[in-house]
Amino acid sequence: MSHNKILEIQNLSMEFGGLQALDSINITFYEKEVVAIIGPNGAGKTTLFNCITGVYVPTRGNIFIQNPYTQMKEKINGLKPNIITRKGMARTFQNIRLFKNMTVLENVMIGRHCHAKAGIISAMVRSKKTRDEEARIIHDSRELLKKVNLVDEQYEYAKNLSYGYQKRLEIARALATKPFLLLLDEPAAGMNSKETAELMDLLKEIKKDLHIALLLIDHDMHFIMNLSEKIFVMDYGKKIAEGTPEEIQKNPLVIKAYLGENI
Amino acid sequence: MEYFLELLLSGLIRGSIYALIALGYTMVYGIIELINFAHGEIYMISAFIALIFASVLNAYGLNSLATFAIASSLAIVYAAAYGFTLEKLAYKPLRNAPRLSPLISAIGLSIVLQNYVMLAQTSSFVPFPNLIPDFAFLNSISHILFPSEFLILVITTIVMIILTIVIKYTKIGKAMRAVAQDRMMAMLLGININYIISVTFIIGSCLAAIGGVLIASHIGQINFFIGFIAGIKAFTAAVLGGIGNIPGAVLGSIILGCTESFATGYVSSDYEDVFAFAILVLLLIFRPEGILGKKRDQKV
Amino acid sequence: MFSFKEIKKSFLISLWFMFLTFPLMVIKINPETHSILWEWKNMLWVGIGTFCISLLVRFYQARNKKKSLSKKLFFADRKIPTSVIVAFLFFSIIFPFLFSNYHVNIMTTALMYIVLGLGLNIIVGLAGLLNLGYAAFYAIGAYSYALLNYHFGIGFWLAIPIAALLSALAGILLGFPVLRLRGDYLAIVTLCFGTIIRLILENWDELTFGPSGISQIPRPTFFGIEFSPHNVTTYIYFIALGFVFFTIFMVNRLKHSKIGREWQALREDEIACEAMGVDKTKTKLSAFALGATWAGMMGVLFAAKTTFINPASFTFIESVIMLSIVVLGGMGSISGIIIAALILILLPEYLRELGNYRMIVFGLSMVVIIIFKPHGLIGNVKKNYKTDYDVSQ
Repeated sequence: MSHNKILEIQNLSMEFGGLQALDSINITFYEKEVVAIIGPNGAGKTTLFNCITGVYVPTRGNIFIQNPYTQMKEKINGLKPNIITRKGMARTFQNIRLFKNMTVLENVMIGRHCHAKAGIISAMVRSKKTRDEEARIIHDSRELLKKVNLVDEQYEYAKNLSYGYQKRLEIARALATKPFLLLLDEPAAGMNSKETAELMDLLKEIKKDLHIALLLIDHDMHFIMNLSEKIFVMDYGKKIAEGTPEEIQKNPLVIKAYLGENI
Repeated sequence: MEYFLELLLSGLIRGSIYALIALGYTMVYGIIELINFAHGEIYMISAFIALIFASVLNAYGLNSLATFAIASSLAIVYAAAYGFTLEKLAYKPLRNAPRLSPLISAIGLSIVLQNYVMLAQTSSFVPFPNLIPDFAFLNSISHILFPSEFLILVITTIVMIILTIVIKYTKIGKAMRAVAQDRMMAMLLGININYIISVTFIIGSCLAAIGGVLIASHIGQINFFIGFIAGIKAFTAAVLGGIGNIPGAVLGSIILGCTESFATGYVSSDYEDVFAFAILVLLLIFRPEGILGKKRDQKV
Repeated sequence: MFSFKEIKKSFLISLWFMFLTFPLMVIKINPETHSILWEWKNMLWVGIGTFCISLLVRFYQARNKKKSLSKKLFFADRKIPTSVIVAFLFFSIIFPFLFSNYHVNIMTTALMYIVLGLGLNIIVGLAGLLNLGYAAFYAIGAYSYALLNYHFGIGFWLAIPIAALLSALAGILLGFPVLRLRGDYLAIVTLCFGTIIRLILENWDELTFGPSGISQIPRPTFFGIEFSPHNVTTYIYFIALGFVFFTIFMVNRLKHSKIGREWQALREDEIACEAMGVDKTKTKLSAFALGATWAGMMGVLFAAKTTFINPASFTFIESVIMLSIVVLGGMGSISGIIIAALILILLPEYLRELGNYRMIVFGLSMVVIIIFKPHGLIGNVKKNYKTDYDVSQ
């Protein structure tokens, strides 16, 4: 396993009014790792997510990313979400946010757009170059749909898909941006056990085939323990523990804060 | 200084009228998120109805105070009836349609109502009888405050107070606020949504009618087109204050009225509307949710 | 056919409408003499009319319930057959040779509104940005041509790209302040923008000649050749028709391009859009600019067609009609917009025989169409990327 850093969070704090949502978080992520963040509701998991993806600008602290291909390190806090996505981090949402009135294929194509160059003029002129680029986008998007098993539904409107399919489409759309780190905000929430198992297989496959790192937030302990290589535990905006699933299960602090009655 | 006060007063009076209309916009918007474009027409129709009944009563030789009271009451009743009917006819069938569809039916209705009044009555300006009695205690300041202006300020204040009480403390007011917050949840709790929406339209229309009758007796003439302009201004005021917010609508109306009044007084009446709209645009750039509107953070 | 209960209901409805219309329809005040005229027979008409309409609606609803859902969605998600398109094409080309100049003129206006509708569709239908001030861009185009011609003698064909550029700039200018606004706030600011532009045109006499407007604007020429007044109508018709084809072609291309899909994604969900790496600012501004471009070009054509413009041609009602075309057509559907533009422009023109009743009929048709077809006349056609050239590598 390689040990290139891809994301470094240093002393990250976030305040809303007087509320300390995140308190001096220090976390480092490595290449091709599957990491989970767990913690009770209101522990600050989604806030951390939103800081990393640029939805919130953190009050204090720094976030650095290091592109595994170019080894370039840069600070990303304060950048807009779309810029961060272009730098190689993509996300899914806790409450699905698909482009409902667009087809499944089009949803994925939007994800691919950040690597396309065509502007307004080229859209109107439609030169050979633009047409090739367009064909490339369509081809790649279809490949991704094959990966998540949605190719039969490609001309369906996103709103007509079932819940499980919508979740998978969101993953495909995020993958289309060619991330080296994929952030999944409660991917298994609201799924039945069969769908969860399928999702687990899908994520394992993605990790294996695409060599990208995954960062998960979820409440489904079985899902987390099965999938992740490393777990961070948060409570009241602080990181209270980190380690392998086995270590976490034994950690008395974690048991006290969160797992106590569950496992 | 006296000129300044005069302008301020005229701004307050304009603002009061805008507020009466803007409340209808804001309440309807708060509940079903619809810009009720036909709302200005209700105001216009109620002015016409007051005029018609006043003329009839006058012809039968009733004194002016009684005429004013009866004609205005009938105008308010009719405005409520029109508001109720419009909602049932043009908005209720579109409750689950795409967001812009009710806007189109509202625009269509607005065109229909304008032309209906024009055809049924007249396309030219009609003089509105002066029915407001002289208040003796106003004689000393009658050079700056007309009786009609006094009446506008007093009635608007009373109406605002009553409305606040209704919304805050009565059962129907609480139900209205609940529907505005979360229509689905209110329905699950057993609130009759259709009933609440109808009541909202009726209250909004009554307020518009009060505004219509007051301004018509103040200015002294009406035609079928007055609702359109007043409607747009009142809507602007509602947005200025933060659409869906009741005190905001009043505040926005008063700011708008004063801006217009000062712009007319100190710059030129040609650019009165430019100032009004420029204020709105500037405000929305810095406070996109309006003065008192709540910032609605999108949950990610 | 109707049960007693239904008839009773209709009867009550007609009674209610008789009550509603009683003061306005029956008591007619003469504004000069203040005499009162009682017209009781109007009440009878209202009663009979509403009774019949109410029964008709009941009949329609009962029939609709029986119909299967698939039949109701007759138009939705269907490509228009080629034969229909060819027939339309053929008809539009021979149209000026079959009908008098009067009809050609009206049809030219309708064609211009098709282009305006398609242009506004970029802003409202595709990008989902409600715009109630589209006529301002139309005015900017018209005044650009009129003033450039007056001061510098610039001709029609040169004015078109200049006006397009100026309107696009105005679009961006409007776009910047409203970037953060959503939905109805956007509507009111664009409405204000439209009104401000009109008021400036009305009051800045030195530049715009105020309310009296600009007259004697030259008609378009054909490579320097001027047409006789009779032929020029036909010529302008063909220019407008050319614009329609050009616009359909371009809008279609834009819609199925990278930028077009980004507009639609922005309409669906701004946050997800940003998370996918789409630049919100650029995408919104480009929608405003491109939408405005078409209005600018049509403005030039409008000025050249009427040879006289004044601020009264660019009122709020113009913007409303343009928006209605987009919404009635079915937000984003090109063929829907064409049909809606033809209905909304031709209907009032050919209803002139109804005299004063035409605007009532016009408004009522708007209400009726949208109630019976809340998603617009024609639903959006899904793009199948099937036929697209496959990647060659």
